Amino acid sequence: MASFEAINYSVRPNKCVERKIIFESLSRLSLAFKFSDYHYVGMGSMWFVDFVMAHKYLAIKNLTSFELAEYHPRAEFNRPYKNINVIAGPAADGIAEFDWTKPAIVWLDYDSGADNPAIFDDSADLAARISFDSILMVTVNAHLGTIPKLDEHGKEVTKHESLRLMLKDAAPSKEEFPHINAKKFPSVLATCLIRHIERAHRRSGRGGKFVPFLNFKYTDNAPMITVGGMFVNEESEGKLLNDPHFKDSEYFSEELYEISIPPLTHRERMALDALLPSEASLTQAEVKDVLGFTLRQDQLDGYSKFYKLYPTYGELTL
Amino acid sequence: MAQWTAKADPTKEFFIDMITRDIGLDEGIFDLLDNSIDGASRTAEAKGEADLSGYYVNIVLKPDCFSIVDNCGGMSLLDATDYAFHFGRKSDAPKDAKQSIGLYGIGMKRAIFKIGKSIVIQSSTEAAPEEAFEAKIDVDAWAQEPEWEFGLDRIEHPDFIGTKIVVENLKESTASEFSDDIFISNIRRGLGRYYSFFLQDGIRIAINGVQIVQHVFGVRSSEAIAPFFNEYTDEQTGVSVKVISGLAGTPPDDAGDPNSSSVDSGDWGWYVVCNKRIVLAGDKTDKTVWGGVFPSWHSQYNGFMGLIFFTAEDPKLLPWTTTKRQIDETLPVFRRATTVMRDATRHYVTYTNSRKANLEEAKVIEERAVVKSISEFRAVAPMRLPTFSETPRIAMGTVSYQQPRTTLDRVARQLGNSQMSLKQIGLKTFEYYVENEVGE
Repeated sequence: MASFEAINYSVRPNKCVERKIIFESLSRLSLAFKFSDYHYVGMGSMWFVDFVMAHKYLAIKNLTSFELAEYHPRAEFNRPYKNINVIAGPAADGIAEFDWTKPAIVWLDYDSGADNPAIFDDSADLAARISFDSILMVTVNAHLGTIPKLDEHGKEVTKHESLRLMLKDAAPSKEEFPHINAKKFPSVLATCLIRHIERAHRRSGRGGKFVPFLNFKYTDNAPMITVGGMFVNEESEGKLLNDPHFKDSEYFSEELYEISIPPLTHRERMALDALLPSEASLTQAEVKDVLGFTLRQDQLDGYSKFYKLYPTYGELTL
Repeated sequence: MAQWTAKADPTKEFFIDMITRDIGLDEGIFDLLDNSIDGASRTAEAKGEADLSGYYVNIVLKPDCFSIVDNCGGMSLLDATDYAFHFGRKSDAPKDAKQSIGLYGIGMKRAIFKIGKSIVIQSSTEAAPEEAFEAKIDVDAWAQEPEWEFGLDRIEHPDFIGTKIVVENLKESTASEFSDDIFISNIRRGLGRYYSFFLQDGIRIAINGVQIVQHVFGVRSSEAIAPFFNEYTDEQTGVSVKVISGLAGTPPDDAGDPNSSSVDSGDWGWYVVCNKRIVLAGDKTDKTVWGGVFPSWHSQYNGFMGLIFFTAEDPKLLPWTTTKRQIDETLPVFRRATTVMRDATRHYVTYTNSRKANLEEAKVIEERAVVKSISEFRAVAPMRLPTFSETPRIAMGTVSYQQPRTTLDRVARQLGNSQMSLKQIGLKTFEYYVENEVGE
């Protein structure tokens, strides 16, 4: 890959598109579910981007971020609104102490992959506590390289063995997933995580179920997946499944929805925008006519799909 | 003549509600599978077939429906009218397959009652297709009837040979488990193990369309290492007994680390196999040999695997309980066998101590011995394990300190293995210091 196609990791445009899709989609569901009365719980880091969106798009007033104790003062300083409560300590402690009686939208946004046991532990713990009509999203790194190749004694292990060591019963079986490669791993991991959440909720013995529909895959640097959905009882299940926005949304699916936007210069974007919208994706031929060169078809497909959500970056003097 | 009589008739509720509590859902499914396998063995035996490769069992577990369909020969009408639906095995029941695994006459009824309330059982045999029958059981309605009977209807022109059981109107708890893909994945994993020796015989088992893969049990074997093997016929009962045990994995370097875990720590220990069906798996308790006068299980023994096979024409002679997931360790035939099992284990236990004298060499020799399938060992041969002479004792000290987990994780990654044990991290970093900072 040429270096100009590599992406400035700090801006993460695909991640940005994912956030927009999630919050815009949820705001459409806010006629059926009164998200403004919900609690938003996340891992805001120092940037709180999702918190700002939860406040702006969904009008959520109660916001809580989990932050490790050593970074707590800095996070406290950086919180953009005074109604964001930063709780010091690992997410596991925060989850255990938080009052989950009110419905919440929770986004556990990890950088790490399956080798971080907290991901599966925290999401199961939450699934067992969270109240009905709540939404849980979990983002994890789905790069196959995050699976350790050695066990603790330094012995080589297969991918299946390594996953079994980390994920225990939630690990993918050889029978069902005989070949795990880099391409399949994101969807395998998503399946394992969803099943794990469903099981933890089911085992909490409160009835109802988890409806997964916020499932995305994108790659800025490493391939990342988000799995998410709503915990419903009989009443809210009907409300969710029959909501016209839920039924119509192209972004909601049980399968991973791939977000993939190509890195383009501002001039290129303006030229391509002038050809959009169009019924089908842009074709290489028409792009060549306008630009004098062409882009890969998958890049054009991605742009045609997400051009309205494509973030604009620039430097400005404040 | 007694002055009064106390009524002792059983109630149907007892059978429907109570006997189903003593069995796990997985065990119930296994019980139905046992019947299919007995059918396959019986049919293969009658036809003179060498193995079970012509037979399949397809099991479907869905939140609204359970089914098990096989081509394992089916049940004859006489078997059904006189025996199969009877609660408890009748003393005049015809002889089953040689070395069958169904024995108490409770498995099928208990399993289907455990699963749900609306049941259809169909069966058809090759010998008498005109006797193909169907039993429809509505459990709640049946419980109200005074008679202990199930009506059987003839199936005209059956288009199958074998048995089909379909259960609908599942119990809430059953439906909930069947909706869980992790439950189903665990059942598959369990079947691959508990039915390893039937899968080896060629029977095909599928759950929701996914074929079960045999888990092959094996022990290491080489010039230097050979498993314990002993075979004998129990004199009092005529039960034939076979014991194979040895090094299956790699013993841990560091048995003292409580956080120590390995891929298959659940696999180590003793296995009790009755007529090819694994009854007890990876046992580390006094059910087998551990504890009491013998050492209790310790993680130092990780890597040990022992299998004891009991085989008899009459399954009642074997040390299993009705759930077939536990052994009756009080049975004399088992008690007598534990002597042999203890011999086999003692060799290994001694070895795990002696290998500490030269750990590096032991690891090389162990790794060089390949894991061979249990079924490849046939002849009685003495167990071989390497011996190590004690190296001259050097006075040793223990270094121990605490560090934040995050730092340890970073060090482990830097050392090239994020999963490295804490002891290894300590050793490697210490070695590094000695090499770079300590003069001769």
